Amino acid sequence: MLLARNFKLHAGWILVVITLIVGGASWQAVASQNAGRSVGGSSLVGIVLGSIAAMIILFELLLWPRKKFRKYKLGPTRYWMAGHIWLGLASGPLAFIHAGYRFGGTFSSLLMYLLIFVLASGIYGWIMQLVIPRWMLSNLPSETISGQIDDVAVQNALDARRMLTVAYGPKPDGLTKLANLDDASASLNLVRVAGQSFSKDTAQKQVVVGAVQRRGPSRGRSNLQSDFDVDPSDSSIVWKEYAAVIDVYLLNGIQGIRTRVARVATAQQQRIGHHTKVVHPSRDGVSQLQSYQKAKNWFSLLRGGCSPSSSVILDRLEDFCDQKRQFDIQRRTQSWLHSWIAVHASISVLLGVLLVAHVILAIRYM
Amino acid sequence: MTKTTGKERSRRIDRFYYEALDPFVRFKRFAGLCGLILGLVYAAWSFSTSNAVQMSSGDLSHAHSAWNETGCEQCHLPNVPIRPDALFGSSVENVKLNNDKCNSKCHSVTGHFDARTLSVVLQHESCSECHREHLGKDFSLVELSDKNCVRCHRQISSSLLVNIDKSVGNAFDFSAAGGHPDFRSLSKDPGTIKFSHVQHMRPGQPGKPGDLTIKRLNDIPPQYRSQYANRVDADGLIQLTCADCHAQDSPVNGYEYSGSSSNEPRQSTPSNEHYLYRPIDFDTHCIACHDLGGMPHGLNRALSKEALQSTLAKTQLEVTKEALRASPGQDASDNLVEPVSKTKESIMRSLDEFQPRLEALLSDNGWCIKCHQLAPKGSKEIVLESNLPKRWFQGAVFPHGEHMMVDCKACHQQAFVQSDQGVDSQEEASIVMIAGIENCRECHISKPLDRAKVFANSQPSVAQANCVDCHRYHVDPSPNIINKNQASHVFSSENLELVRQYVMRGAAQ
Repeated sequence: MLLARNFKLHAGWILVVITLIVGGASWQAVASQNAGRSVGGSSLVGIVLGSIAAMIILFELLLWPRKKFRKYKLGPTRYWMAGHIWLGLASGPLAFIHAGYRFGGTFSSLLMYLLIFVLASGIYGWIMQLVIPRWMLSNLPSETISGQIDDVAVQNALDARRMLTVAYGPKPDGLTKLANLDDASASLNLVRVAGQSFSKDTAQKQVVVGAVQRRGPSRGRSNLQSDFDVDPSDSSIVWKEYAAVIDVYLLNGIQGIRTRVARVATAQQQRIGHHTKVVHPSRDGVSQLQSYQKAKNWFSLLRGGCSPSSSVILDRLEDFCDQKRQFDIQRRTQSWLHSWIAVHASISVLLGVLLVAHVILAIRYM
Repeated sequence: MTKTTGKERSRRIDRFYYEALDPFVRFKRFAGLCGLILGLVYAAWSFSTSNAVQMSSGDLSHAHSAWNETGCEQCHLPNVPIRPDALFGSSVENVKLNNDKCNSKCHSVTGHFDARTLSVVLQHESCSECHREHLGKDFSLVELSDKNCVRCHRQISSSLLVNIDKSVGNAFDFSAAGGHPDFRSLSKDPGTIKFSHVQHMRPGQPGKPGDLTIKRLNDIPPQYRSQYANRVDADGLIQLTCADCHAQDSPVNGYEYSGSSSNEPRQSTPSNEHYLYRPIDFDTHCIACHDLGGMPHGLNRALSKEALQSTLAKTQLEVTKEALRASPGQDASDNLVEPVSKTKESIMRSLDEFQPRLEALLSDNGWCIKCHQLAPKGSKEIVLESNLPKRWFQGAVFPHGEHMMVDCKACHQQAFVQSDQGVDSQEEASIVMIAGIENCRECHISKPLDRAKVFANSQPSVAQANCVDCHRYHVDPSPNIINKNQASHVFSSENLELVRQYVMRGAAQ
């Protein structure tokens, strides 16, 4: 995929890699033939190939500081990444040829294993980078900035509460208590809209950078409306199910309010079957909403217990739940997409440190 | 409640969201820091002497494996490359420093014609150039590639050597035509013994077929018959085999065996056993048929009259003492007069017979010249030294023990020549009975592919042809190898002992 799209960019690097590996292997073979044995790291060919491999590893490590100093315009990222990928792939074979196709003792073997692990994690990451963003683009239309998932989810919960307040009036007394989002909002640096209070310090930072991505069934719809023509008799059941199930689900897993929400949810889930006459597909409403199909059924049952005029509200609530489901999937896939780099980077640093020790040792005892 | 605009809704995204540290970034930094600390700690720990094994580029071979745990300095000199092929390691000084360390510690090996080798070559003659280490415990330090030798011997010219021996030829491949010079050691038989293998391998050992001088078991003295009792054929003739004269010596290591004394310690390892053959000994292998009439073998001309008289006096005294020991308590002056007198008489008779017998042996028809060539007149020696090499190959080792599956005839065809003619022992003695290099090449093939082809052509006895299979590096072979089969008792002092024994035998009779 990557090659097909940027073949010219990668072709040069591939040529360099093939030249390095084939040239190095040939040189080593000739030197070994002349010496009558497999020449290793201390020979001329070994030192040259080892130096090239070490310089490649150094270049690979430079990708990290390069991000820090990108303001200095050290070249386009795609060139750096192409070099990082292809030279990195060459470093393994070059190091192996440098060592005379042997792993050697404990230290040198450890270096080789670390290099292999770095290469393997890099290849895994490369595949992840190729596959996951494309998949997310196709399957997660509500995808948002990964660091803002919690913020947007909380805002959705606030929007939902405000929508119900506008449509049916304030939450009737005696229903399940909603989670208090004031603290969470502050900790999440939230901006409240539509009459909600918000921090001025935070608000000053907010400018328009684009609308929240919304595609699919809810595309083009207004997120908020000022009035709704609904049957007030549905207020009780809608607020009840919202407080007991939907609000819990919308705030499920959000950092900062997770504990409180979980505690509330546990208490509410125990009573969910008694709070509604029509909605009791499961004792665990949250787990029902986590599944697209089950959520559809759940909302279908809820619609059956309400008047048709409440459909617009229920559609909107279903839409919020759908977004939350996508946020959860996005969070998981983001972990697959980004967590490998911590392993890749940490082992790379370890490899770099041990490589320096290896060079010092080689010069001393060559 | 007013309808919100897209601008308002977009405000829910913090423009400076990237300033807040992402959990993934925090984890990455933490993991990177862990990698840095772990690497520094491990490197520092590994650099300590007690953990030097961590830094080894591979396990040492079995012989040096004890040093796997004791630190690099046992062998390595700091900042002095130990391998000559190291980028900065090729200097005579470095090689000398490293070799001296090996020699001062445990080894005491000689160089390889150091005085005749130019420094440009010597700077590669480090121990580690050939004996590669850190290749695992089971790696052999002595199974060396031909490349180690060929790098110089391919063009062993004046560019490598000083005072080069012109007869030293280039060598690069044993089995290739011109790849190895002919065996110099086999160019000429230095021996002076007139001996016909053809005659001795005939039943009854006749000079020519049908000769009446054939040997039957009853023709040899009784004391030697048991030695040849199982060599009698259906006609009662003695049929000798190779082993009747060529007896294996004990297993020894190539050049380490000097062979001058059986009391010398011999180094032997099970993996490197070689068999030598003991020198031919007249009193063991020849005397049954070639009895000298009781005369000792190995005399020389240093037999002065005074020496003989002195020997006689000593012998008389010895006989008297023996008689006293045999008759304790008796008065020697009375009772021993007669036996001593008789003994003296018989000794004198034997001594009287000795000189004419010796002259008879030395005559033109005497026994000596049957096998020996007479020494020039005026020489102390009666005959020329036999000059039979104990080991024929002066620059190589031939391990008989590793060739036991091969018939003797395969390499010593000349010793098995069948002829209906009489033999000229002197002429035959000048023939070297060992086949040349072409014979070795029939089995010893250097290229694996060629070896496989020969093996496929139903010749199972194929073998490698590496330099180290025959040659040794650490020995300047010339002084050690030419171990001439000297008659060990040609010196005058031993002559007297021989004479004394002869006289005593005569007296006893």
